[in-house]
Amino acid sequence: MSLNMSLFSFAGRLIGTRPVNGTRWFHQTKGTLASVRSSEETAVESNQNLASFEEEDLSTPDIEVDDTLEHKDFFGVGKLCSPSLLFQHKVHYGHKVTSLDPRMKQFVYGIRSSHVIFDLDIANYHLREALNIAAHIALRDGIILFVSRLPHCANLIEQTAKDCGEYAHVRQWRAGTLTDIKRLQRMECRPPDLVILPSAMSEFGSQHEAVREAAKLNIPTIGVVDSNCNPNLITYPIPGNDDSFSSIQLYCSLFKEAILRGKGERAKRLKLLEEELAKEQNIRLNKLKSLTSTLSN
Amino acid sequence: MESRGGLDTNFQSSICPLLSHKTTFLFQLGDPKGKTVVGRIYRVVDDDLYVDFDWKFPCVVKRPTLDAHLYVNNAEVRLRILDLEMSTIFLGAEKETSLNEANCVLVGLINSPLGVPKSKEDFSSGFN
Repeated sequence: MSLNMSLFSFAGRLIGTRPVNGTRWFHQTKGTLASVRSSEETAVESNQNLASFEEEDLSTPDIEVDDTLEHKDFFGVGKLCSPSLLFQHKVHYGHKVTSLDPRMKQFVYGIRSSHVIFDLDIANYHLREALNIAAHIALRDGIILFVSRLPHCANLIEQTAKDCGEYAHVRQWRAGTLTDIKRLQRMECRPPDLVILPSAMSEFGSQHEAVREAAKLNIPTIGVVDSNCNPNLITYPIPGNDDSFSSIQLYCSLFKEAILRGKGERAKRLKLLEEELAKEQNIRLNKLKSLTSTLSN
Repeated sequence: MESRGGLDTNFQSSICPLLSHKTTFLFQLGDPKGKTVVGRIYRVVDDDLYVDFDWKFPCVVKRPTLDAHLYVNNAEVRLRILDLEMSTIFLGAEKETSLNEANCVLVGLINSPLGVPKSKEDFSSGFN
């Protein structure tokens, strides 16, 4: 019997169909296969499993996403927004010119009645880039965190995060919520992979703490910067109005759509991958079966 | 022409025709100070009425004594603009502090979901 076993494990290696799948998939199928086959075969199979178990790299397989980078706008999020849509949602209104941050001058179209007006072409370009990044990160199964301090939009932002299966932080920001996450949460935590700020301002009119903390941790940030904000620490700044309810509504719906598109693509690719793995496993088992029958004969 | 955020600068900005459109708030108004506009109440907190008049900020006004019960959500009111943003640089501060509110005076009620304002009734009966 011991000879048999070693033979079979050797045969398994000879066939050389060490699957690309990981252990997770393996455990799933083992139960269903065991019920169909005879006990001897199962024993053989389990031995085979054990042999390949040792060789297996324990990383779970992931979907291939490299081809999405070749396309300029893979998810078609560029068509979601246009300057006229931004105009309808009052994105062009800035604060008074006396509070204009000199670093925001590059996004300004002009000044009317001492109020800053943003150039919506530039805003549209930056918003598109940001939507694209959000969709790509959602495709790669990144954790996305919505952060803001807007009391009148807190409910909306939390609801948006909930709808796209992500996270939101709209309450008081305690220092170190990102940088010292382990102590504040009292457990090992995975920090987010993308921080979206519908408003980059804190409630006291200074920059939101999350921007600095994310920059320290090398987490990319997408932030809507009004004319009194500093866009320098934000990875993907979007110039625009961050006070009106309607413009926040627009940002929320756009980011929700982008994230859902990324997640939809991910689900599609995961399904394909699983089918492929199941097929491979079937081929492998069939080969093994035929081999066992020839050997026993 | 200076570069604009990595964009092709050969075309005219698409905000131009949008801004010059007839219905655009702030651009048909001229100097906004002292102008009368129509706003809509979107939230009532005790005696404070939050009025949205298509501007970046809402304005908060006190509920008047006349027709007080008619000032509810979705009521249309007339406002006189004093300042579009209540903000100032305080002594010793580096940055401007803003209340994120416009400063307006309530002129009167135009219509309300709860009925016709009394002042308007008087006005129309005076003509008959």
